[in-house]
Amino acid sequence: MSVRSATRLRRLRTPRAARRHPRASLIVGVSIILGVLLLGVLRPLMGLPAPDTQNLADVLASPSWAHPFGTDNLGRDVLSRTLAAAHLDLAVAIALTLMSLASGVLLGALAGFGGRRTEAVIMRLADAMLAFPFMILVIAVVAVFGPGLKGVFVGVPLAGWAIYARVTRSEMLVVREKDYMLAARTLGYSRSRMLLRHALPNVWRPALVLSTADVVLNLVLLASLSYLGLGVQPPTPEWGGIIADGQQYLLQAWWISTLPGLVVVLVGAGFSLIGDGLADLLGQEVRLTA
Amino acid sequence: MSSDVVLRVTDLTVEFPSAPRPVRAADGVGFEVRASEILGIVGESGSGKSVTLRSLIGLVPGTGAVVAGSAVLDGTDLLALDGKSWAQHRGSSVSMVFQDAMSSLNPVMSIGQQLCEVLRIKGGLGAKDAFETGVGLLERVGISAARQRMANFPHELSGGMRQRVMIALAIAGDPKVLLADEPTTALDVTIQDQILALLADLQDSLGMSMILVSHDLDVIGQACDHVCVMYAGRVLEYGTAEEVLRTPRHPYTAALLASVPRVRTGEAAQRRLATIGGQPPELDQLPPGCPFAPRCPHVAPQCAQAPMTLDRPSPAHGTACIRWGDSADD
Repeated sequence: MSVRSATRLRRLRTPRAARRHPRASLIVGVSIILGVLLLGVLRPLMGLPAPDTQNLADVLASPSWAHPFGTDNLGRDVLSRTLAAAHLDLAVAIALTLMSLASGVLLGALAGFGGRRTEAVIMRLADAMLAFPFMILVIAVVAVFGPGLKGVFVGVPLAGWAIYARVTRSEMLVVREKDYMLAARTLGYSRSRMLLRHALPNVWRPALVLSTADVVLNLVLLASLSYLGLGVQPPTPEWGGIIADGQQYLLQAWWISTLPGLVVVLVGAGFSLIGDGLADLLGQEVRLTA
Repeated sequence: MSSDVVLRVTDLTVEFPSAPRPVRAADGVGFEVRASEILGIVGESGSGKSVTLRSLIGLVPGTGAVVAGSAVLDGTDLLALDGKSWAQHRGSSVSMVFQDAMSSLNPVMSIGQQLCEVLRIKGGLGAKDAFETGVGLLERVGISAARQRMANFPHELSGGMRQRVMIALAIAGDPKVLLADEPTTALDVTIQDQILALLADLQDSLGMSMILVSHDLDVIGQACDHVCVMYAGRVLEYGTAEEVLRTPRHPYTAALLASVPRVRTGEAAQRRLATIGGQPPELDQLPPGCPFAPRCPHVAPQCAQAPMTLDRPSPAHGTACIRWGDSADD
């Protein structure tokens, strides 16, 4: 199943032209992300109302030149709020992913390189984490810490490291048998040096590729948590929160939820393109299932 | 040639656990390596030559373990070292060059990074000194434009160059004994000669001793001072390279030499290449006595009782064949 879904995923996400030019998809992907970030930074110069400015005379206005994304039920400019949320959403999604990536790669490398007992402890923990539904685990942690980013920053890496650990461990099982690892041993290096300096740089690339898909998931997760009222708290603009606010007006004012939603989709596509480009560049398969 | 022994290996026995009884990949192996000489170990695949070599650097592959014997280098028994002391000795007392230089260099580290690392860890040099010494080492092993090469990654170098880098890494810690496990097998013939010449030259100028493992008799004859012929984990013949290869005293060595292809002309070209009948024995089903007996053209009933010891003590030209005196007349 995993093989089939992996190939399907690849076919869906990598048009043939992009596969032939891995750099092209990298460039497009990076441009999308940087573009959204740049718009977020330049927002104050764009002549839009501030994200929190309410204009009760102009509620639920449909998209126009003055309000390209329309206004919400409090008369706030939706584009302004969407752009203001960009750096928060992107930064949090990337930070969450990096935290999971770093801890997962380290633990997975240790599991693959260390003794049988180390491996058993780390991998059973990883299995336990993967056995839980991801979202439920995160919500449970957020419930302990109370709504807000703190709980998210504890919960997501706690649940998210496991998949990286699995990928990296399997890679390490291959790398530790390589001739260059034996050659390094004949030079009398310590085990920690062997692990960190010689093995680690050879095992982390599949995890890196995986992480670009994971950024998208974390972005959506953050939006979902805000949507449920567990993530970023109002009135701080956040994509999930904006979409959640607009949901109840969907029939009168479709733009409040739909247009920020499309921005999320666009950013997701950007990360996917980066992932595909990296995968092709590094000669790695995109493996969402490990 | 000076006669002081640098490394004395006696009764080295390596076993791999297996049912019903363990497999002996090396059985009572003994030899001496003298200062600045090259000892060749020759034998076919599975004869225990690589296992012997690996046990001398404390890295017996897989589940194998040294169960008996000693290998004394400078008064230290290498086989008795624990993991921590091994880390001290590897790279500085003994180091190793591998068969496949293609895969023996870390693909994500530049040549300079790998060289400087050994020099910093083993030689205690600072970053700058290590770089300069590294450049010197590369020049020493015959790599041109050494300074530029330091920034190259292994995949940017040819096979011969990579083997040269491997050799530079191995000698960076100034080892007393260099173990070379078929260092030229993966290279083409012209490069083979260059690498052998380089090894001989380094061994000479650095006063280093070397053990060269190969299944290629030409390589052994070209480079070595002494030769040890191994078969089924045992030493069958041991002596100076010249004597062993010119006047072999064991039928196995003789048969090996006869099976080397040569360019022949005329009638001789029509003759089939000599081969050794049968298969090398399974190590867990060795015949009693001489392991070569089932394939030996000179086999006699008493071979089944033959003790596998050399008839003359080293460094004389010894053979494990009890019938050598008789079979010479066959």
